[in-house]
Amino acid sequence: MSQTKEMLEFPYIFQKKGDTVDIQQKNIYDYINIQKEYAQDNQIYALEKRYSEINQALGIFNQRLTNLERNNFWDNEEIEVSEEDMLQEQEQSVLTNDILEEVNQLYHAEDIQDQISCCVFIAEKTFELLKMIDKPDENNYKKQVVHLFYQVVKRNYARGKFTKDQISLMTQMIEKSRKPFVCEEEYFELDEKLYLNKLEIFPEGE
Amino acid sequence: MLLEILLDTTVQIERIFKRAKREQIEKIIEEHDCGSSTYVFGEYKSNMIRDFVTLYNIMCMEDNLAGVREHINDTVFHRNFQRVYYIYNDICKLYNDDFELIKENLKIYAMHLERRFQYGIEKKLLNETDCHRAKARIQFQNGRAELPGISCQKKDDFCKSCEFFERHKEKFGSLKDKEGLPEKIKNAIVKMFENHEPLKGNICKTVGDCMITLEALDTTGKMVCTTNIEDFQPICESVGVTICEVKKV
Repeated sequence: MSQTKEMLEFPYIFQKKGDTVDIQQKNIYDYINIQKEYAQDNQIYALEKRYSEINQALGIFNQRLTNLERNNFWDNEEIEVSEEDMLQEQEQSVLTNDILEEVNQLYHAEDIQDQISCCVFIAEKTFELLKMIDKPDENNYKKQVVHLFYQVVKRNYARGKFTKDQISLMTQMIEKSRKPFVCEEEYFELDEKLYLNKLEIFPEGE
Repeated sequence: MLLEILLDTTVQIERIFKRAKREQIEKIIEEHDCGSSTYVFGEYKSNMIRDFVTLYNIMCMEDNLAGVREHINDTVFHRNFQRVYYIYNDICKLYNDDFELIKENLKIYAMHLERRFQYGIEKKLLNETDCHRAKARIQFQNGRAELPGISCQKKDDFCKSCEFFERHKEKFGSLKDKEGLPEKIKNAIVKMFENHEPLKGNICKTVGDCMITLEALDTTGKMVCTTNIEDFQPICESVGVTICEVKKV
């Protein structure tokens, strides 16, 4: 590779003292040839570099393709499951909306019997939601928020009419469960609010 | 950080699980400067929290509810087994016996109990003993729950219980022959005085009520709040601490 080849200085070639016209013409000719050669070498170098880059990229792509094939990425079943996941997500969203709507109905409950009627629906849908959500990841408390909400409904629905603050907190919990990730501190902030708002999550002792 | 009343382990447990007493306990907490101690927290962890860590681990071993139920007995949970059994049954009912949901819930149960200890109490914990068990934190590793640091033996030297004994040696001495004090506690105190056994491991656990009462001497009211009146009464009389009694509302 002649990328190190330097261009000769043009004026220097022509203006050597004592050179005949022939020699000057030859110099010009040599100079043009050198320039051509230089340009060609540079082009070849650029092409070779590009070729090597493409080869490298192709190698990485092939490796990834092999890995994907090994993991049955192209398996139809897998693709179906992925579509199923999307459907499940939609269903979860519909369920969450239903629950949220019914929690808002709690503000309008006239008495405890009205409240219990709302809570039957809320508890049933929340249980469905819990069954639908995948096992929680180690550090993601998203599903645990739904568990907490479920316990609040089940353990408090008949203890007395919910206050506005309690209903607002229940709404917050459902809203929080929509987030893709809930950290430990966020989760226990909700837990402490439950304590401060006198909402039970533990059973009455034996 | 001046506490007026020290909350003992029974109060800390019952304000979670006994609704009838909870209102009264919460009222006491609201009206007084209440707090607890690292010793109480350590005792609470080695009883309550450890039980639920174990219950979760049993769930990891079994694949059905009956299997778990079989292993909730007094060999595993000692005198707390009725409470664990009761709570387990309650959770099963709550989740319509759905094994996976119960397991998910139980995984976080011990963490809830750990946090609940401090809710409603702004004061820091008294730390005369620097109890090692209070520092144990729940961890999930290799598909099981762990509570490293919860065990405490005579040979271990990672707390200040011996210094605590030296500071309160006279008061401990006065408890040796105290009428009404369980023999088990008296024997443990005798071991410390006559056999020069350190206030560590099982001895430290056996004289737990004495430790808590002596810690209460550091409160402005010289008061301890407990639901275990029978056991605390003779100790408090001897040491000069008043019991703040929790009555059912």
